[in-house]
Amino acid sequence: MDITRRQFVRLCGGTAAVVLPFGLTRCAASRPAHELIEDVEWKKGLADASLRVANSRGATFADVRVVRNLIQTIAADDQAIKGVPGEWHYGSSPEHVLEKVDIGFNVRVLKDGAWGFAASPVLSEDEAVAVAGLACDLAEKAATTIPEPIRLVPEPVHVDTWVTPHEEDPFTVPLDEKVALLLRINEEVRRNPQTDRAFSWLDFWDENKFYMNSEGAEIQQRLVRSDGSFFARAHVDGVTAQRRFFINPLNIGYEYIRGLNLPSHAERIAAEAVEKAKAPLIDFSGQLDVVMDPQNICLFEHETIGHPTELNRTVLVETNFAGSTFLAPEDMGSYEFGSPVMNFVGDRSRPMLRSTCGYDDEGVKTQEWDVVREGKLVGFQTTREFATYVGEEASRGCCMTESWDRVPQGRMPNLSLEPGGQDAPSPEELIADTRRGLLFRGFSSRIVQDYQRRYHTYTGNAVWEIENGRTTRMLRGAHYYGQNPGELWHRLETVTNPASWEPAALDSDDIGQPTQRNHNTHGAPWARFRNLNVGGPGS
Amino acid sequence: MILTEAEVREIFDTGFAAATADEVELTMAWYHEVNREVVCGSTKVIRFSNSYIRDDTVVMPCHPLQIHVAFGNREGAAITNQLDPAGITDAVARAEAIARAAAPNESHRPLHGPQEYPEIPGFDEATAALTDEERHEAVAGVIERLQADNLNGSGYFHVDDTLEAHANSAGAWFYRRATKTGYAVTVRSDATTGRESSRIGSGWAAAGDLRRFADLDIPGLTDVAIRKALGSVDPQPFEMGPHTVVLEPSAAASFIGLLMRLWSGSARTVGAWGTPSEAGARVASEHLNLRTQPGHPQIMGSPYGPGGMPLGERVWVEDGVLRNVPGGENGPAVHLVGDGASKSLEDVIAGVDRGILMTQNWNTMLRTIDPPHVNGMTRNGLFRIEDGQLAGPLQNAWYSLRLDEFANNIEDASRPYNAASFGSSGLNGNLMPALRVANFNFYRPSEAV
Repeated sequence: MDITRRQFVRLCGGTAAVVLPFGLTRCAASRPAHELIEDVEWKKGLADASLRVANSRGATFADVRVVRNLIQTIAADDQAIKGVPGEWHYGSSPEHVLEKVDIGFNVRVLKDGAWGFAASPVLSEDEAVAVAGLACDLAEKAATTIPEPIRLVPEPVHVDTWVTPHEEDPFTVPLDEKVALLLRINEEVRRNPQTDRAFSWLDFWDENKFYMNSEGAEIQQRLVRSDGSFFARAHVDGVTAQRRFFINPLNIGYEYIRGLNLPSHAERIAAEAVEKAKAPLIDFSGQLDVVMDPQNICLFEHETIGHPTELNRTVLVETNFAGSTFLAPEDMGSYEFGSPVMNFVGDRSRPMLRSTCGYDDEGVKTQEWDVVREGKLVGFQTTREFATYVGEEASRGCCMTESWDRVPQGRMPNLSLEPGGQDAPSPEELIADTRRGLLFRGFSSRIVQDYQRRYHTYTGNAVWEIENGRTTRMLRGAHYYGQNPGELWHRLETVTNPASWEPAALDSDDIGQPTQRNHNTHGAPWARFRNLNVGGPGS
Repeated sequence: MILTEAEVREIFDTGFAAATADEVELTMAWYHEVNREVVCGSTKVIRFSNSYIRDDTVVMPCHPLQIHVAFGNREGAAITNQLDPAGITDAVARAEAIARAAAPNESHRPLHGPQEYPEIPGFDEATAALTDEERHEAVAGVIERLQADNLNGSGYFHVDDTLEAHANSAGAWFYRRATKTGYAVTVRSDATTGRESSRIGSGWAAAGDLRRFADLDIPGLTDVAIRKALGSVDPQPFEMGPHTVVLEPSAAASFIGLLMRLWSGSARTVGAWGTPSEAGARVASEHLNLRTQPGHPQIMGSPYGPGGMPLGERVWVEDGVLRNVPGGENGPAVHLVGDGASKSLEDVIAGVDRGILMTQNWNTMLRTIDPPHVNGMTRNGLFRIEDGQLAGPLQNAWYSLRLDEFANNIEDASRPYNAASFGSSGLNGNLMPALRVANFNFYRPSEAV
């Protein structure tokens, strides 16, 4: 595609680009940015202006992303509506319902074998030209330090539109209704007189991404995300305990929130918070069978499998901040990660999961692939650049950027533990088959792990003793721990049946300098590990 | 271009004109979302790894406008980075729609009127004018050296040109430009990856939150990281248990940050919240002194505090006694200076007969509030100290201890240094002392490097 300035002006709505106050060049004032972002033809014109510059400067590859993120977060602390934890300048939480609009574009070029990247919130042709030229300048400078030119594996050219399947746009649901839902949940929690706090929240994202590259790709995507949850806090005899209701965050519309009937779970969660506050501290240290539910496995697999198999960490790209991993590229195909029932699949294509989309942020069609098969490492998370490090001929589609102002990076996709066959036990049968052990439910962020993901310690949001096939009492302070490899996934003995698999997910995952957030699902069945190391908080 | 004061006033006027709420606050400043810092202004980053530049990035000026409104005590907020009249009007309307739907906030605080802010010049023209060529040259030299010596280097160098502005419908007004720069580098003695890397050496050095590029010694910091990397090759195991440990300022900073949260009552673990300590209580040994000093010549931080209130100097800990409880009316524990001693880091090391030097740490986190139990692990250089001298590298290790005991076991402190530590933005630099701490408990060796 090659447009003239006159065509560009027409795409802007028939009037010339104008200079508004504050030096912000805009298309005609009748076309504000939040309208332009919905106009795919206009975005093609913008991207093309950048790509023509990159081409004329001799870039071997260039791509452009025009991005609008719309985020709405609502939280209720008992009967007060607040924001979520975060800082608006020096520590104070927003303490308001928050709606955020963030619009801009970026240009990445591969020139002289090195990357250059520039971004701007100003949507105009002049800016598109300037930003592309700047990205080329930066790549030329970076190239003087490159020992070998960066190479990309090929990808077919895609021209497509992709939208998260959803029925009800979360942003069209009246705020009154969302506020009423949260207050109702908290009211139900606080019916239990031994609770002293209820906290609930809803979180919605609408990501509008237009992607275009120098190879001809033109991809318009819209990702819709719905999340929310609540917790109850109990205070009994000087002990405070919190129990969270874990919903599985999904890429889906508000129909998901409606279907959850969140208030109906409040009574159980409140009662379990009280039970947790009354529970004794674990007084055992040694080896026990451990049963984990999908929401507990979620964080465990994220840290022990997800980060170690990020190929960019493996090749020391993240050393200065997040760290590296105990895996090396040459481990693929030979490293024994765990027991034969351990099967992990990476994907960005399974319906509704958090990382699912049509194409990644460098135009690669999303897919599904084996990461661990029968306990052996068989795949890494790759981008078009990093696939070359393990001799693969195509990317796994793991290039992502959170927003217009962050550089694309290799990021973790959905990564899930596969269930057993139809004849595998149900969760109830698994517990019934456990003579003595611990049941961990829900994740807790109070984990211990080193920066190469060798040693790990985890706990759960709630932990029960299992005696003779039955859960008996809750325990506080219980942890499981071990060294990767050998002491963790090699002890995986049983995974439950496909009906028990759930698309659990974390609240956030961050990487890079400056950091970027990421959304991904870590689905899992229930699982039992034999003779896992367990103990108290000092484990 | 970064918006001028007149341009910001014009934008704010548009916002005020669009609003119908009883109270309106408009802010342009950095803000911190979960795991993500948003810069108000421009940011330029060079990120290198495997001893070459991976990302040289420039984000053109962006001025996210934060809008808070209230109808009575019903509050709403919105953020937009689109500053044309339509974008501002749309965002104000969103904030007002939210406020109308929100439940009353019983702790709603009325707006403050005009305030007097201390003059703290945080803008350095030369730093703002740094060209991309000059930024590149600043890093290219160290990359050349790393490549020539076959060292594996990863680093992060940023230059921000930022703006803070605030106004409200009660007449408050604040505008300030500031520059900010920092550099962090990790050097590994070679490029070995995976499990085989446990015998290599790794070193780290950083400086952060500086106003002037001229104060950022990129070659010098890289030298420090190289020395630590080469000095920590083939680390040796050591006996787990209590040791006398010298924490370099960056390592000390992570403990001091936790202590401030503990004393303020804002420390939390899942399901457990702390309670504030009492002013006047002895909370640490006499070697610990901490205060907030935005105007310190090595900080030159913002005088703009929470809610737009002025942020002045405040003493938190004096000779181990908590003089003011951080948070609330006393303001946040930011722009920290831990002074009170004149000796250097080397002097502190020289005073140790037998001990361990911790240069950096990782994952230092409160596990329980009561008692305040902390664990974490060492990173990028752990060294034995014998007779006041460094005496060889040690294997990294996990530690576990009580935070209150840590504070009381401080036996010595140095003068303060820029103590860059990892934050979500990459680098935060308070001025922290090196600390000598007795009975610092290690419990598990680690092969991670």
